[in-house]
Amino acid sequence: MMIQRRWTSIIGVLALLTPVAACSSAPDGTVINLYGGASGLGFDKIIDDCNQQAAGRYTIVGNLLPSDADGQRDQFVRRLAAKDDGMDLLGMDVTWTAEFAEAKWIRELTGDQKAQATKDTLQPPIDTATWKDKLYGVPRTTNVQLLWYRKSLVPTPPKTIDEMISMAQQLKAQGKPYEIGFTAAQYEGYVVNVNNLITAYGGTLVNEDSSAPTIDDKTVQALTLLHKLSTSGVTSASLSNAQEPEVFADLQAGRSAFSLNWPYVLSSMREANPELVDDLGYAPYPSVDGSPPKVTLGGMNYAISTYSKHPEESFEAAMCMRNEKNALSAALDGGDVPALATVFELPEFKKAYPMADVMMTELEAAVPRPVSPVYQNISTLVSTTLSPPQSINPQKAADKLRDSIRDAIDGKGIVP
Amino acid sequence: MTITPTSAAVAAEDQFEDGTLQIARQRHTDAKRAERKLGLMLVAPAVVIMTAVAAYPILYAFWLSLNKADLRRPDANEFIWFDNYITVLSSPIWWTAFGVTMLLTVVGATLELALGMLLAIVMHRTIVGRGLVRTSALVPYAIVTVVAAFSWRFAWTQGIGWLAPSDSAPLTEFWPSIGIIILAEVWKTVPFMALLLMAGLALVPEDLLKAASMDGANAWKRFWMVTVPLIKPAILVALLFRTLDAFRVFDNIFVLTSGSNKTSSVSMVAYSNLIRGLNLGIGSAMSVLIFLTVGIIAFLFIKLFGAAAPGSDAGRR
Repeated sequence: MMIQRRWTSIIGVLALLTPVAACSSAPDGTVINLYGGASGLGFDKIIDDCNQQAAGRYTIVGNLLPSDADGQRDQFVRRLAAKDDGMDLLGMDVTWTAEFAEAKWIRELTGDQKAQATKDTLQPPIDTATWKDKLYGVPRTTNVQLLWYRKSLVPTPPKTIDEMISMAQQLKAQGKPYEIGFTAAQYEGYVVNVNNLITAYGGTLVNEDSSAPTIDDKTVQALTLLHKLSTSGVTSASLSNAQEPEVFADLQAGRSAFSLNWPYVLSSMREANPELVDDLGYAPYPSVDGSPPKVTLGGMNYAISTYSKHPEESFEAAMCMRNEKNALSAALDGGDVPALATVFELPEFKKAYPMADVMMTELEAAVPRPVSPVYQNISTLVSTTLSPPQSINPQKAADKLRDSIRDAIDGKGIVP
Repeated sequence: MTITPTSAAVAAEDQFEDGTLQIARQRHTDAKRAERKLGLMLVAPAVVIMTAVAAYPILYAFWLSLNKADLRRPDANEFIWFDNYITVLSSPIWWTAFGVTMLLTVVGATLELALGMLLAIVMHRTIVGRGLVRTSALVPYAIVTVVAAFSWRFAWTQGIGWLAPSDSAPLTEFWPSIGIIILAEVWKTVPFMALLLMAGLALVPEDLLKAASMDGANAWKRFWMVTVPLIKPAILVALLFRTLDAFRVFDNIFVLTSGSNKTSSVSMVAYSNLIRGLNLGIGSAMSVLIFLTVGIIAFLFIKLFGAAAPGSDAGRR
């Protein structure tokens, strides 16, 4: 009886374990686990191509991450803090470099690897992969926002934000579509806009080595302009809930005359509303005084986890996934702006991205977001303090930001 | 004085059987000691496991809360006494979250009690299709909170949802958001409340109600003077459970507003600092404070309504 019962329990345990074993249908040999960017449109093609080139030395496996940047970072930091060796190649948002490097979660690229990673690469993306003069990532994509507008409504695109506001007000008075679309929900994308305005006045949020906040009257001026923009009656009713998809939808539905958004708008609009594509114009992001804009850099870099057991292969895989051919294919299929200067010269790219020249001009003057190990905290503080944009009190908000950023840098701050 | 002979007799007996008694007593205490020992040995595994899974994390969290511990700056850790508590308790963010949580708890629990009682009476009194009524009333409680929360979020999103007004986005403003969070919480937990209260209602003897009715008490009086006093323990248990639960509200807020526009609860703020911000010191301090508050709420409930608390003698049925 006893023996029989024991056997039953052993069989039970085995039965429980079997499905677990069956689940791990990973390929044999060295596996490079890629996290981030793997779900992009047409990206499986790139992974297949690189796996073929590796000829069995390693296999890249693309893993899914949450769709929003905050959720992605949550998963990265949790697993990296736990020294998880199941992550090899990290597709990192450009704002995470300082934090991950400072926490010693990602490997520095030196010598030959550094030379390879920066060859033919645009300087602004290299800057986003650099912390304290050390390179921590292979620049993969970059990004700058543009001003999209409806050519039939706006004969000449505005050069300044004030000009844009008055144009929109005129359109409104004439009963035409008039809205200015931009992201102002309480999230990272709003911080990009805030930063665009602050840099337009020549201001910053933190200093070079991220040891102190640098909020001054330039910030106050920028916040005054933001307040004006959001209260002049020419924005969407759900402005304070608008993320990129909502901004895009407003343009697609014909409510927006102006839209401040990333370059993906053109390729997405070809699918979403082909009739509108011919009417869609693009221009540099409006500035304060009509001078060339200094916009916030977006994009993504590949970093190699400190806990990866295959750093060499991971580097090779990263270089393959962003080589000229694959960067072009990501740009055409997924709307990812390449970090390689050479791709900008390719005829296929120029055809799909007629606005490439405008982007290049913006890229040359673009600035990274506040470079700081506590960027996440700063970003949260900025978006919370300034939300909703309609009720900003510029001077008060600037003072509050200065105090809370200082606390965040000192490690005393509370994240809301 | 009538005792004297008895005591004398006992004394004599004692003297007579002194040795035997001694041995008997000795045996008795030995057996008791062995029993105690066995008892301790039997509970030991449970105690060890409890210590490992409950006490250790709590003590570790308390230890962390006394340290400057940020996972992003592993080299900068140091012992800083109660500085983290000072930081948290002097922060308006914490107190806003605390106020929001209290508001959600009080308003939520009150509504849940009222509606739960109503639902319990309906379920209790239904004659036709009793099973169907009870089952359908329980559906909201059976749906995973996060899933339900997503449905609520989409329902209130402008342009997508059937509840959203066309010219405003309720989830972007403070009061509408609070209202929607309370609605989602109440909708989810009324069935739970009703279930507990129905168990209480089942214990009210029909005879008592009939007698009260004979005495001329109307329905309201019968409910208030007969039913309520009898089901008081059930009400208080239900209220205690819901209050403690409501104070820890997290999932609905996480999905509906993710804490924007100052709608964070204390659990939400602790999550932001602990998991998102990786500031273990501050986050642990918040967790300890939440733990203490929950403890105080439970203590007050048991102190104020002691007789009805679960586990106490009078409340046991």
